[in-house]
Amino acid sequence: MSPALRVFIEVDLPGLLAITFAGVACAIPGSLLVLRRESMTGDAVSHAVLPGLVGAFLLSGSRDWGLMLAGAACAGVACVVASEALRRLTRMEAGLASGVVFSVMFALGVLLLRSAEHVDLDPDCVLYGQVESIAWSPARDAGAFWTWRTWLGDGSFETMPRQVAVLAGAACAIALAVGVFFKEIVLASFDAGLATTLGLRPRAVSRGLVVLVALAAVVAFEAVGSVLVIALMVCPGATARLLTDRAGRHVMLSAGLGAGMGLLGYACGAWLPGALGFDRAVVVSGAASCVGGAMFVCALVLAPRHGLLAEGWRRAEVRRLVLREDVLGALYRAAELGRAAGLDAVALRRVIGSGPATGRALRRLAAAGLVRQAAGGWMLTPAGEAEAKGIVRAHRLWELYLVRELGLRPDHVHDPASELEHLRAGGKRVEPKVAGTRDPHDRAIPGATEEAPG
Amino acid sequence: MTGALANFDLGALARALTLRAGHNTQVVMAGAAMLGLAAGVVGAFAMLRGRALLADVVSHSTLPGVGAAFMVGVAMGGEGRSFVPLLVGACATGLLGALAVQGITRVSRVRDDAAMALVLSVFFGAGTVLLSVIQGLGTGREGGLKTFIYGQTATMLEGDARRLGAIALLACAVVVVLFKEFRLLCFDRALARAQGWPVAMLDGALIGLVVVVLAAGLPAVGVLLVVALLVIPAGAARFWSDRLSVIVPLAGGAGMAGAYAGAGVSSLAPGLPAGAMIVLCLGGVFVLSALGAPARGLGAVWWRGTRARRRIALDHVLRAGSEGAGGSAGPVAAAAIGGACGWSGARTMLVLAWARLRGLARTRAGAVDLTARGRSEAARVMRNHLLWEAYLVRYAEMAPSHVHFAADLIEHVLGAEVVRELERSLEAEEPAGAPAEGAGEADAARHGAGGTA
Repeated sequence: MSPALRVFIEVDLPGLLAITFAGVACAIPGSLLVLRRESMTGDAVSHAVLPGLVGAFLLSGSRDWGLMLAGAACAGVACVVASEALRRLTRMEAGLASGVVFSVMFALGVLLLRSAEHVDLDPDCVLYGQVESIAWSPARDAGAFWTWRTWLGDGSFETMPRQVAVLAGAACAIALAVGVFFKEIVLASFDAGLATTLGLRPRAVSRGLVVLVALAAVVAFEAVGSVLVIALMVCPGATARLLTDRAGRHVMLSAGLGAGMGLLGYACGAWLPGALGFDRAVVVSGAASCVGGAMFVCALVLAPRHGLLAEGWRRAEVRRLVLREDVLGALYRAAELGRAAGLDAVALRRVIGSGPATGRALRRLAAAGLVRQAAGGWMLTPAGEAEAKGIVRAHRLWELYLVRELGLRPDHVHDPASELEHLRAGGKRVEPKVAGTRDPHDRAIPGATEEAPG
Repeated sequence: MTGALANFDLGALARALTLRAGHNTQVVMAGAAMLGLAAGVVGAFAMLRGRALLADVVSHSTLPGVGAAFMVGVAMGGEGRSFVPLLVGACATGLLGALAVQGITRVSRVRDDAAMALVLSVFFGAGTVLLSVIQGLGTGREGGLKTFIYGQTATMLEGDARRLGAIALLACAVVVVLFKEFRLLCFDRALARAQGWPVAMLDGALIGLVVVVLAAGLPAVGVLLVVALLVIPAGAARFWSDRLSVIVPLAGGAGMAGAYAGAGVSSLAPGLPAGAMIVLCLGGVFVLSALGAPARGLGAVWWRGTRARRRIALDHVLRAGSEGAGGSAGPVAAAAIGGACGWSGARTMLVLAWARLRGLARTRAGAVDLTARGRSEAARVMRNHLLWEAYLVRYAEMAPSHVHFAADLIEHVLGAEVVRELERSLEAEEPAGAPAEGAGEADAARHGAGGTA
C-alpha cells in the first residue's frame, strides 16, 4: 500500500465518512422541515443543544458521549416545546418566541462553556466541529488492506472512530424512522385536517419530527459543528425543492444531496487549498456550507423545470410565438386592405413595435415557407395565409364575443382580443363559441358562418 | 461551574453597577447600554413588522463582511481591525443576506423559512472560511477577529463607546422622525400604500436600521448572539402594553438595562463572556416581564382566568342550590351540587368554602343552604340565563329546546349594561307579557321533566 493511500485511509477517510453520514442524517429530517415550512426550527435546535451538551459534560465530569447526546437531545426538544408554549400562552409571534428561547439557551451554553475552566471542550469545535481531527489507525498489515476476509476478521471496525459509527447509526435510524412513517408524515404535513379525521395525530407526528431533528442536530453537532448542521438540514432540502415535485423523491434526493454536499465540502476544505498552492486547509464545515449554497444556486439557475433558465426559456418561447403570430396577422390585414405589394420591414415594425426581434421572426417565418420577400416588401405564401387566417379569425371572434357576451364597448376590445387570440389548448387555437360573420368593426371574420363553431 | 463564577462577589457587582469600578468598566458599560438602547428601539419595530427571524439571518450574514473588510484592510497595509471599515463590511454583507432572502422567495418556489435558513448558514459558512483563510495568512493581527463570534467587551475603548452612542442617537432620531410612518408600516401596509407612502423605501429603512445596529453590536456581543439584543427587549416590552408609543421606549429601556447589567456582571471576572452575560441579563428581564407584567404577562393572564373560573363555579353553586331545592328554601346536599356540576369531591369542598367566605351559602352537616344574598344572586344568574334564552328564541330564531347550552355559557358574562339592553328589547317587542317568565316556564317545565325522569 502506498503511503499516500495510507494517509488517505487514516486521516481523510474517517472525516469523509463522518461528514457524509452527517449529511444524510441531517438532510432527511431537514427536507421534511423545508416541506413543512419550519426550516428555522433546525436553526433554533442546532443553537439550543449547546447547553445540554455542555451541561451533561459538566454534571457527569466525563466525556461520556452517550450522556452528552442525551443532554443535548433533551435541550433541543426543550427549546421547541418552550417556544411553542410561549407562543400558545402569550400569543407571541412564532419567530419571536423561538428567537428568544434559543438565543437565551445558547448564551447559557456559552457561559457554561467558558466559566468551567477545566473543560477541554473547545469553543471552536462548537462552531466548526472537528471533522478534520477525526483519525483512524486500523491495526493491520499494509499488504492485505482490501481483502474482505481480513476486514471482517481482525476487528479493524472496532477501532473505527466513535463519531463515524454514531453518525452511521443515526443516519440509518433516521432513514428507517422516516421510511416507516413516511405516509403518516406526509399526510400530517400536507393535510392535518384529513390526517385528524383518519385517526392520525398531526401533533404527535410533528413532535416525532422534532425528536428526529434534535437527534440529527446532536450527533452531527459534535462531529461537524453548528454551522454545518443548519446548512446540511436546509441546503439539500431547498435544492431538492427546485428539482422535484414529489415528496418521496424530495426526501431521497435531499439525502443524496446531503451526502454529496459533505463529500464535496470535505474535498473543497481539505484538499482544494493545497491544490491551489495554499499551505493551510480551510475549515471543512464552512467549505461544506459554501458547497451547499453553490448547489442551491446551480439548481436555482439550471433546474430543468423550476430553474430560472428553464423558466426564462419558456417565457422567451411564448414571446417568440406571439411575435410570429403578430407578424402573420399584420401581413394578412395588409393584404386584406388591398396592399398587394406587401409590407416592408419598417412598416411592420411600426405595426408591431419590436425592432430586431421582428427581423428574426420574419427570417424564421421565411425559412418555414410562410412568408416570402417580394419587391415591395414581405408577403404571405399560401401556407402562411392559411395560418394567418386562423389567427385573425380567432381575434375577430374574440372581439365579437367580448362585445356581445361581456358587453364591452367596440373600441375597447382590440387589446384584450390581441392577447386572447394566442391562447392554445391541447395544441389547438382556442376560439370562443359565438356566431357571426362580421366583427364589431364590420370586418369579415375569415371562414365564419352564421352558426357558432364547435 | 467552579471556575469564574466561584469567586463571584456581590460587592464588586454593586460597585460595577453603580459606576464605581474604574474607568475602563464605566466605558464598557456605557457603550453596552447605548447599544442596548439602539437595539431595543429598532427591535420593537422589527418585531412588529415580523422581521425577528430576518434579523437572525442578517446577524449571521455579517460575518463574511467582517472577514472581507479585514482582508482588504490588511492588503492596503492598514491595521485591519478598525471599527469603521469592519462596520461597513458587516453592513454590506448583512444587507446582501436580507436581499438574498427576498430575491430567493421572489424568483423561486422556495419559501421564506427555507430561504432564511439557507442564506444564514451559507453566509455564515462563507464567513468561517474567510476567517480560517485569514488565520492561514499569518498577519499576526487576526487575533481580534475571533471576538466577533462570541463577543468581547473588554477591548472596548472610549472611542468605540462614543461611536455606539452616536449609533444609538441616530437610531432614536430616525425612529422619532419616522415614528408615524413606521407605525403604519407595521400595522397596515395596505393603507400605507393606498395613502401613497413609499412602503418599499420605509421597509428598506427599517431593515437598514436593523443591519446597522446588528453590525455595531458584533464586537461586543458576537455574531451568534447579537440578534438577541434586538429580539428579547422587544418581546419583553410587548408584555407590558398594547400601545406602540409605550412599547418602543420600554424596549429601549429594557435593552439598555439588560446590556448595562450584563456588561457589569461580565466585568467582574475575566472568564465571563460578555455577549452571553448580556443576553442572559436580557433573558432575565424577559422572564420577569413574561411572568409579572400586568397587561399580558402569564401571571396576569392566569389570575384573570382563575378569577373568571371561580366566579363561574360560584354561579353553578348558586344555580344548583336554588334549583335543587325545587324553588323552596330547603338545603341541598353538597354531594348533589358536586355531582350536578361534574366536580370532584375536593373541588366541591373548595368552591363551597369560597361561597361560604363570600357569604352566599351556609353548610350544615353536608347540606348547603343559600343565604338571602345567595338567593338574590342566584335569581340574578337565573334571570340572565332566561333572558338570554328568550333573546335567542326571539331574535336568533333558535328552537326553545336548543338554547339551554348557549345560555349556560353566556349567563356568567352578561354585564349589567347588556342585561338592561336585553330587558328593553324584549319588553319593547312584547309589552303585555313578561317574556323572560314565558321562557322561564318552558325552562322550568323541562327541568322538572328531567327531574322526574
